[in-house]
Amino acid sequence: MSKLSDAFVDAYAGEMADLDARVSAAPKHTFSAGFEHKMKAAFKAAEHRYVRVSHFRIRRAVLIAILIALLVISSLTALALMKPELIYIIKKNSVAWDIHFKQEGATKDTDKIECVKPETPKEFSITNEQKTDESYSIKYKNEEGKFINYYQIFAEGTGYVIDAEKNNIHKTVIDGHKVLVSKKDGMYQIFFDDGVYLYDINGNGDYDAIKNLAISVIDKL
Amino acid sequence: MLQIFLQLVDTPEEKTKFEELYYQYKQLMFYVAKNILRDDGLAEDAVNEAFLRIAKNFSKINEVSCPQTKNFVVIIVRNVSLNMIKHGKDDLGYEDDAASETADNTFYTTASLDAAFESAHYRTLVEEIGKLPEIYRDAMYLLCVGEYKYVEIATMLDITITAVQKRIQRGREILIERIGEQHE
Repeated sequence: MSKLSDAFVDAYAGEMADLDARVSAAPKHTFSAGFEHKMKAAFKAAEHRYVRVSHFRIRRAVLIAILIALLVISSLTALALMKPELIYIIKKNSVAWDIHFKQEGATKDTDKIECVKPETPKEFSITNEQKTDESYSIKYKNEEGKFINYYQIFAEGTGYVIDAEKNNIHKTVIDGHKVLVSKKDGMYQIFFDDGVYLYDINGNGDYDAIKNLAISVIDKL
Repeated sequence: MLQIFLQLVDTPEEKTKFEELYYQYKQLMFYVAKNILRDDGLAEDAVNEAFLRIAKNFSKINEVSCPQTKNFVVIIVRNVSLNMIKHGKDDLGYEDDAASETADNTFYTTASLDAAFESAHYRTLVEEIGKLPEIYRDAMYLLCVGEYKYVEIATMLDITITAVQKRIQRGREILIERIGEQHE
């Protein structure tokens, strides 16, 4: 251990000794029934140990169970008639964030995209605009060479893998809408959903310009 | 999807160990949370959230009854409580805006942090660490003693990697500033 590590260990030992003394002197707290009920989730989480897949030998029985589970989930999803609701799963590891977008409910294969066109940011002009049945994209550029890209696509099956060590990603709220924001090397990316589509706005322009473009989309949802 | 399923492996012994941890530290954790939040209900919420976070990082705990584990649970519940105060009812628990994060891109390692304090007086160093704001001290402890990666600390404390960077950087600066010329 280094000198600094030793010093931290000693500093925390002192703090814990003091804390122990204060806890012993304090009246014992009786936890509420609500707390004990909520703790079931923590106990359930503790029943699972997260391991690297590469360290795990796949057993045939487990594989069969997984395939059955997948089949049931797929069938239920296909039958669902509720309003589509988008969720995302973010998995952090030492290398990357895997963000998977999943759409609950039904959109037919024949569904065509209903384009949401943002307001063109000040001092930017459209250099490219493309529309297909599944996606809608616009590229903007200003005189300084800064660019902003806008994509609108069906959320189902869409995923992102983002470098975890060099990238800063966080959840936030823009104009009352939950979004994910990532920043790397002067590039910003804002992505969010509306239950059916995923909106992805990115560029090397000023963050406020990118954010305002996101607001103009959110205002139309 | 398949990968997610395969990552869940039942180990009943983990449950027993978690129960042991629960009964051993719940009063301590409540005391820490109550001290910060000043409300029994909020403190219980903080303890619950802390246990959930510990459960998700349970593979990092080797022994229940040891100083490292006690420090770990106190750090988690303290940071959960401080986050609750900071974010109020905001359930996101992350920094508000990427553009406001201005930390430089330095990822200090234990070795690079240690280099700055090689000639510092040991007792002074211990005392000054004790006086550091908890959010800086806890992030530095997890890096220096726990030897966790930045991304792991960010996950445990529910903050961004940039925020971890900022806390470690700021803690280091304060320590250097306070220790000043007091060398051995």
